[in-house]
Amino acid sequence: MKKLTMFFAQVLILASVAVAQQPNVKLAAAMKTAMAAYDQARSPAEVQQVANQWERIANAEPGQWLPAYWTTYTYLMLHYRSEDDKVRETALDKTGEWMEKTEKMQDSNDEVAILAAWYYQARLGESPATGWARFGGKVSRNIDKAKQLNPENPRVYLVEGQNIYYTPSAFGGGKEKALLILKAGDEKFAKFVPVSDFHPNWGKSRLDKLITACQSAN
Amino acid sequence: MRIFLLIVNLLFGVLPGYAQAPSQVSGRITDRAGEPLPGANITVKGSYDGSSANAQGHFKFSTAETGQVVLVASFVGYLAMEQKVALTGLPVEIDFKLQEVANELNTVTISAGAFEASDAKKMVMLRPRDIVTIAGANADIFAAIQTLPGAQAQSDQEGLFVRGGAASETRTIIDGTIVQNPFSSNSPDVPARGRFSPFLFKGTSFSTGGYSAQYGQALSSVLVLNTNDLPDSSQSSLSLSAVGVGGSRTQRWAKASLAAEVDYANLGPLLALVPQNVNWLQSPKSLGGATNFRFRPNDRSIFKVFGSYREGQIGIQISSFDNPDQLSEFRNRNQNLYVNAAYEVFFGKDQQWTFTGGTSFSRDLDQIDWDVNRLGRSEERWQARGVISRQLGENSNLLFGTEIHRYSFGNSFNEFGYQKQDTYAAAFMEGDIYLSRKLAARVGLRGEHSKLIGRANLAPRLSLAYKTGPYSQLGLAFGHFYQSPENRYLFTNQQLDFEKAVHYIANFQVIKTERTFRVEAYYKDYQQLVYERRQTPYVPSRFRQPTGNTNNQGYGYAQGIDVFWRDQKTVKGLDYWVSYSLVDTRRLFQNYLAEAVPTFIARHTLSVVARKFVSKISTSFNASYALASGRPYYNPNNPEFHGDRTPAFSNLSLAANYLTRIGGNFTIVVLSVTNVLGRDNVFGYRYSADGRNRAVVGQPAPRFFFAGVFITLR
Repeated sequence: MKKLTMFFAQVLILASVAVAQQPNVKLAAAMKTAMAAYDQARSPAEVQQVANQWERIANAEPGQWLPAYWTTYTYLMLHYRSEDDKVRETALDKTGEWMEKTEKMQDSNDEVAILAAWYYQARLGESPATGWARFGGKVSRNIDKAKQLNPENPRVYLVEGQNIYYTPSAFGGGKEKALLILKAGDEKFAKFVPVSDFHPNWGKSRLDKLITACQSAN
Repeated sequence: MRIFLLIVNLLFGVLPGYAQAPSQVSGRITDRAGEPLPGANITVKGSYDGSSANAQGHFKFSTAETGQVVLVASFVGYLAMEQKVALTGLPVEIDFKLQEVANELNTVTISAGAFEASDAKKMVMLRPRDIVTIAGANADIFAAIQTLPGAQAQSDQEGLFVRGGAASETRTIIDGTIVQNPFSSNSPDVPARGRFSPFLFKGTSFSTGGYSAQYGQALSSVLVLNTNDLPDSSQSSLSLSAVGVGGSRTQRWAKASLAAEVDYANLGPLLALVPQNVNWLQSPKSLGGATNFRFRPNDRSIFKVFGSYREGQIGIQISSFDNPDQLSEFRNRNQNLYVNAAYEVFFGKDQQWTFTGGTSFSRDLDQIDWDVNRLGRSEERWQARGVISRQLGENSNLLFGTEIHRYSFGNSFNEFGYQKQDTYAAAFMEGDIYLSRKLAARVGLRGEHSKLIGRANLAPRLSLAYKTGPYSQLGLAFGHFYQSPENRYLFTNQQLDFEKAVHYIANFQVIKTERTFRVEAYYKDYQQLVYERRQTPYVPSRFRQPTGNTNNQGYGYAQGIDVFWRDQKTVKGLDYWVSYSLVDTRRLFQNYLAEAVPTFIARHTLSVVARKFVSKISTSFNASYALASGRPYYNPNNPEFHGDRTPAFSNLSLAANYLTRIGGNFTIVVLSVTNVLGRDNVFGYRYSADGRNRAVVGQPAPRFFFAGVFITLR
């Protein structure tokens, strides 16, 4: 009798675990494919395909912040990678749309704040003359927020350093100041462990490039 | 038993949707015209399955989903489209033709008469920052607006004189309610600055005619200002300039912000340094403060309160209006309080309903000592306003609103005093109707009632816009506009009717990202203007208190052409605009002896504004130039009333803004010179009663200098 009870208990547990896990397994598989596709993507058209892939996942999983985050990220990368003005512009609009959705889900998340800071940097870069007044505050506000939430996140320093790097020295920017921040980021990268394979872990190679650029002669 | 477990495991874990073979879905995604949309996304709704359109618009994917499903095709800038299909394992072929989302390129905007400065839109003629940096305007909104077509370039009195209209025909509106006294304490012959910092506003819309039924009590023009929402972050600022000192603090919380600022201005030291044409008895000085509260409980609503208080003094010796050989002493002490609260909320399904409500209170007191006489002037206006609007379809909307004002005003002259009160109420409705993306109409109706004069009016408004190309459009506007008679007439006659103007406007504009061209022609019919039965002798002073009989038999017209050209492209880094206004106008009103061109009208006005940012030295160089033909003035020796013209007016102003850091804080250093060439502009002459002598009404100083440092502390 006891054996039989044990058996049914085991079946029940297994079944419920399987049912509960099934969507996550499916989601994990889809995210894994999309991440691999992003690594393979070379042309802007391919990046657009990955963005679509992420967007499909994000639309099907409205409660999950990671697909929304990666959709935002991929569109931001499409903005930077494309040389077609129309694509750059529409990609940035898409970034903004998904950024907003991601922020709504994760109000106090350092990774989300970092991505938001970068997004506003991109907005600023589109219209340097008027951009400072409109987006400058949003960039620094998000950097401050991310640093407060998690000072150990290396991407905070990447985005902050990148911000300083592109700011003229007359406004408190410049290579020397940027280098200090970027080096701090480099140390944080050495210690950084992502929460899972699906959590953000990007930025090291970009950081290295920026450090090299800072160290090169003016 | 193990086998059984394995089966359970397989059933729940590994083989979902195993029942059927996957279905192949293929097709093409294009726009309405059949052009491919590469990169468009196609998905089975609710699943991860889908694909992207290739360069030819084709897509192909397989899905394990079965049964009745919804396919969604989407692309940025286009409306997503859904189609139901049955997946049975057989190949499905399906095409999508997506429609573009309404945007600034494919949809017409109703714009006749209006100049908008905004950051929210991609294509506008001006940005709020443009207004702040115009050389010679010294960050005064009204001086900046004077560089736009339709407005006169005035330098001897404050206000916006639009398309033949007097300054009293333009209303300034903040967050929906009228600002009773938008200028600081005034005095004869010297223009006063606007009270409000341009940095307070996220959007400015200057209408030169044919404006919305939402606004009334303005025969010529409205300047609509919308205050900022929540600031991005907490900060402090300091300003130190040749004319005063100021400081502010802004505190930002998650859902609210509070700001306070205080400033003291005194032109004394500057006026002592620069030679003056006039004798200042009291150099203009003022002390004021403002506070600003914003609360946004959620992303559907915002609550704003703005309050400001300022006390100012000015004293000047001018040539006497009675005898130009004599000097007359004028001193004014002004107190002004303004409080405005506004609330906006979106509600209903898809939030297609909007309610905006507001209330404001303003009180303005002038205490004037003019030689041996003591004059007092007071105004108090309390307003409440509510507007409800509903979005209809993609672009159209319909709104209803009402407003009520309690307005009391008084004048005193030595021991004599007048005091009157009016209750003014208005109701309005307006619809923006998009017949297609190319053709839109704004139809409005406004009804007003004034208790004091016991009159009511009904003012229809109509505006049409037709898109002629991706960047160009045509517009037409028509409307009736009413305004209560000036206070000084209401003291003695409450039987007067509203003054009236009828506007007819046609415009054509081409707006590209870096180049804008616009031309507008108009005809304005003035009716029912207040007219004083002829009195002798004629007194040209605009400060006199009329005492004779008055009626509404004045009339007039104004017609003209306004041209605007802005170019940020031709010369790299150089941004310039050119405005030209031609106005032909005559009227018989007030105490005019005959139908004539008013003294505030220059027939031709040309204005050029240019700026160039030199990034190497982080400095922006700004220049502005205004040229206006001579204005009429009254000469008792000339049998033709207003038959003489002053010499042409011109003014070249230069400014440099240097951006830097002081102690890590963002800093702007501003240097500017108004009327660099020192041109001796004449605004009119003041004649003795016998016409033998005259005094020149000119500039208080040939040049005006300004230097200041503005620091933002983070």
